[in-house]
Amino acid sequence: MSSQWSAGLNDAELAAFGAEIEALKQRHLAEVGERDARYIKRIVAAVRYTEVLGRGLLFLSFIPPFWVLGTLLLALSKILENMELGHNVMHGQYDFMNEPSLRGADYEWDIVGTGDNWRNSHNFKHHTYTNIKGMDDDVGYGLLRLFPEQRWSPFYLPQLLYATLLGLLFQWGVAIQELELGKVFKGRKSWAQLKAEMKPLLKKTKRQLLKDYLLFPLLSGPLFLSVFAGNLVANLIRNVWTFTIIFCGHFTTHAEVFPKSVLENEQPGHWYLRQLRGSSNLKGGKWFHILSGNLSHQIEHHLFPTVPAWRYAAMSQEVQAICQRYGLHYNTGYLHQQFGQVLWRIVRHAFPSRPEVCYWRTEQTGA
Amino acid sequence: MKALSVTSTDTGSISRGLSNLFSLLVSPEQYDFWARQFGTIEGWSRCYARLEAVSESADGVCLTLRTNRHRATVLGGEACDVSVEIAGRNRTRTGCWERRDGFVLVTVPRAEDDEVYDFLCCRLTVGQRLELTAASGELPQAVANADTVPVTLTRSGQVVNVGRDTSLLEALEEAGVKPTFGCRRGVCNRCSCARVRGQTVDISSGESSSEPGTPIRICVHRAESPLELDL
Repeated sequence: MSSQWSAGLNDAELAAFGAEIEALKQRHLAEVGERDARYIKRIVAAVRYTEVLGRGLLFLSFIPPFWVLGTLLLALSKILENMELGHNVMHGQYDFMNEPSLRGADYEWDIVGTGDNWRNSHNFKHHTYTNIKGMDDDVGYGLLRLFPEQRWSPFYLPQLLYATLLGLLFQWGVAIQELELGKVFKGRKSWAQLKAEMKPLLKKTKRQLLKDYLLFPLLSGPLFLSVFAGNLVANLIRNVWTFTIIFCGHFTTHAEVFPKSVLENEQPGHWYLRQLRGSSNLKGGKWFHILSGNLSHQIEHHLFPTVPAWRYAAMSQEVQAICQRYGLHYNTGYLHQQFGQVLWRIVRHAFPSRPEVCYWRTEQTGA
Repeated sequence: MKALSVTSTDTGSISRGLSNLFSLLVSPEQYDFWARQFGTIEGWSRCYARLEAVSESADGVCLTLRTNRHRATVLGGEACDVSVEIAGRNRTRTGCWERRDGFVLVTVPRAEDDEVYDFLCCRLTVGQRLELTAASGELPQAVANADTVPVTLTRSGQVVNVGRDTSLLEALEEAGVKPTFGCRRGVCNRCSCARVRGQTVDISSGESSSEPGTPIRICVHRAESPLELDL
């Protein structure tokens, strides 16, 4: 393995680094219990109350401020449900509670994408092969060129437009990601297979559309359009917010992309190192972290995806201390800084670009 | 007779359709949440119960429970499982049940050094919320000192012998079973399945656990006793 992929650590240092991170994980896992259960139950309550209040106010939206407040509350509910509740529960963080409604393998969330697709494309592929080009579909979502290591084509020139659309329709992007439509167009996947995979997705999509755009608007009677619009805007707000947070997690300037070869002869500790180097954090207050589903602690989330996410804030202090001791860069910044870097990547790599330091190519060519 | 049965089928499908439509507005989880917020034991499909009385006898602890309308779905045979939340975890024990004066009486047999039994005996208060679930079956017995233990897979009904020294995922694969898996390193939760009964050990922490019904990641757990897995 190239020393570049080991960030200058030798095998023993790499193993020691991994062991420290693993010990930190075990220490927190051993503490998991009542406090974690209380926390997630509060989040569930917040999701339920904000949804009922939001939908209730939308039913009274003949008073205009109620429309705004109702829409914002519904957006808040959907954000909390997707991020702090659904995403974390599906990682199995609360499996310890033995509570069927919070079981990672079965949880179904309030967006058009199915929980099962997410468990495969995100929990498995993205978390196991984080930022490995060709294995982690989240590298550009098959739509964007965010790293110079991705091959350029004129297709990417208008990618700022693609990114804007993806942001607005993010839940739909997540929904179709697992279908890998590109493979179908290139003939590497049959239409019959696509059709079979579409079935559960169509069922879920139908439910989501019926709920937000037909049944709740119908229930409001004469306010059909007002409720319809409120639900639409709440979904849009949630889409843009999740898109922003998620893009800041892996596409900032210093977030790295890796070649498949890093998986060969992977040394102990290297997996942890790769999670660290491929992820970036967001600084902020307590509510910011909750609203981001604690994905603001993207580094900790990638090191410890099965540890209840509210613990990441405390764990990040310890991770930073460990990184400092090993001379490793800990990528963090405020939202405007990190998102600025993401935007720059989208704009810059729409045009031909070359990696500044091309570690693995020099290694392959023996240079 | 024929006309009657057709009508009842229609009623059945209409009520199913309405229930489906209603579930779009209020999911089972939302329904159970709000039922609880309003202080009731009503549930969409789960059988919640309220403790009316508790007494200990030589046999064990007897819980007198008022249940919701779903008791018929969980009370079959002589046994049922009763769950109570202790320190953020749902803990389950099996007991014998009987019906008396509209209540369900569940007797959980005495167990030494069992914190769940002790909790049921001494820490429960009248009005406490519990849940009843259908009893899971008896476990096959392990052959003494054997390197392998029998694992019952509840969905397929298959029983296979697996080694105790490797992860359950690898051991099951060796036995010809192909469970769903992902990262094979305890990260992605793809191989998570409920350990219906039996004891497993977390390979990285060395901690053993046996709480019935709890999901485990089979790529980082190994069998310690005969097991029943929801696979």
